[in-house]
Amino acid sequence: MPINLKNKMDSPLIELKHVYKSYEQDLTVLEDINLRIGKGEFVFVNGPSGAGKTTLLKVMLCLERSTKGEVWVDGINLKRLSNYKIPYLRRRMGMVFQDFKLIENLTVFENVALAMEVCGVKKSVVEQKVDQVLKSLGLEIKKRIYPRRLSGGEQQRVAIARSVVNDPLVLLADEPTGNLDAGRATDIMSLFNEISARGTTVIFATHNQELIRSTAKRVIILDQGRIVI
Amino acid sequence: MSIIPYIIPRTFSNMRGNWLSHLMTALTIAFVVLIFGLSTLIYFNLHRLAENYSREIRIVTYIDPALPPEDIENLKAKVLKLRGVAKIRYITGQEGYQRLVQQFQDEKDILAGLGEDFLPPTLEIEVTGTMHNLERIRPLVSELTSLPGITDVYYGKEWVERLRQAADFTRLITLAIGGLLLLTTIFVVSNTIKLTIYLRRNELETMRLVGATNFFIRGPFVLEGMLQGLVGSGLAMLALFTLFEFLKTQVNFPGFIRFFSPIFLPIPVVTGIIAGSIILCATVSAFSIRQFLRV
Repeated sequence: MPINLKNKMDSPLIELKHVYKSYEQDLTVLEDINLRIGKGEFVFVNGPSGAGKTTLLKVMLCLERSTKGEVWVDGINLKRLSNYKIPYLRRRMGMVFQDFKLIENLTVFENVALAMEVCGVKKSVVEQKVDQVLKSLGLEIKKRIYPRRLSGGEQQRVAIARSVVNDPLVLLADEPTGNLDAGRATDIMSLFNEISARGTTVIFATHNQELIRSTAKRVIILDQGRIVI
Repeated sequence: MSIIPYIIPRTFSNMRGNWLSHLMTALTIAFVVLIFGLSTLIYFNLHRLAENYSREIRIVTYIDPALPPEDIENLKAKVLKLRGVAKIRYITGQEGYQRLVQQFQDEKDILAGLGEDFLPPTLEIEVTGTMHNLERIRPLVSELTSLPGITDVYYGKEWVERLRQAADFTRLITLAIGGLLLLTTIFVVSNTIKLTIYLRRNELETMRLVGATNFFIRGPFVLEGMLQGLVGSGLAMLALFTLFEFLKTQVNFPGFIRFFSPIFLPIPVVTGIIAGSIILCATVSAFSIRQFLRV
């Protein structure tokens, strides 16, 4: 079924209005960013290293606060969101990193379960849901294994499992294929397509042009902190 | 939905993963609490001894041996009329000598060469219950001293005052050690927490990314602190009790406190020391992690 972009844009899931992010007076990482991303959309954020892709995702996840402008996520103005409420916002968003950010002394199962445990979900529900997600990602036989014994592609799949286990509204991915070879990168890309097909909004930051060319998705190009396309 | 069932197992798993540093912290706390407990025990028993001694105050007045018998009877009547005097007993020099003979049965040589009449007659005065206090007994002693025929008055003032001074000094030492306990615990527990946080910084970052609240992150650290306080102070109290029981059978107390039986700290004091250690460690843990809890 084709995505009805017009309806999605009427009430965007994420909206950035004249967003700036500076660390010092002369170090501006994001400059006048205006962006609307609808529910269920798959958007690539492309640009060279240092263009501001990671900072853009961090601003959306409230890991960084914008210096100027407004960031809206699912009707919430992040500027007005108190620190106390930030964890609750993050539970509705998943994030995947280039370096996976798995906890070494937790098994695959425990790493994925952590995202539900922090929300206080009952253990029986956690076990059922984590098993289901690991199975859908082909990781069920690895659930008792520690991350260091997995390949890079498998580790990234565990990180994806952790980010989707709470059925987030939006999945942010920061160079998730950056540490993987071409074959594994394609596998991971297919996973993101599947997640997007289930209705989750995906924002995928990458500098990999090949990956973008292989799909027909919306692309936002950043350069020196500005959206150029 | 509750995060408590996740915080408790996480606490134990964290402690297992970093057991050596937790053990060292608990032992340091145990050492400091042991010193504090020992000092409290000494203060407690000295204070008790001084109280007991005050309660048993008796006044002994020495009477001029040349005083005629009728004057002695007059003197006894005057003393009995004084405020605070409950009972009196007149002891002749010979009776006093016989008492000494009985006391020094095994060391008779001490009394060799002393005649039976070398002691002056004395008047032993028992005071009423309200007089068991140095401040109240002093006016009575002044009145006794001023009576004709009385040459000297003795009431163990020096011992009671020395005991009181020792108890007060021990209390100061205990307070100083309490301060040391506070500083050491703050330093040791906060450093253990900082070390643990450094070792687990990636884990904490990941927890923040998946939406863990500060309570979820802080909870296991505070519980770890409480357990360290409990184990450390519990060990200290156990060691103190063992030491106390050992010393009680080994130490020979000097004459005047030979019949004083030292007692261990009462249960409320032990409970207070343990509870105080737990609260202190938990508070230090909570404050130490606070600076690392950014959003």
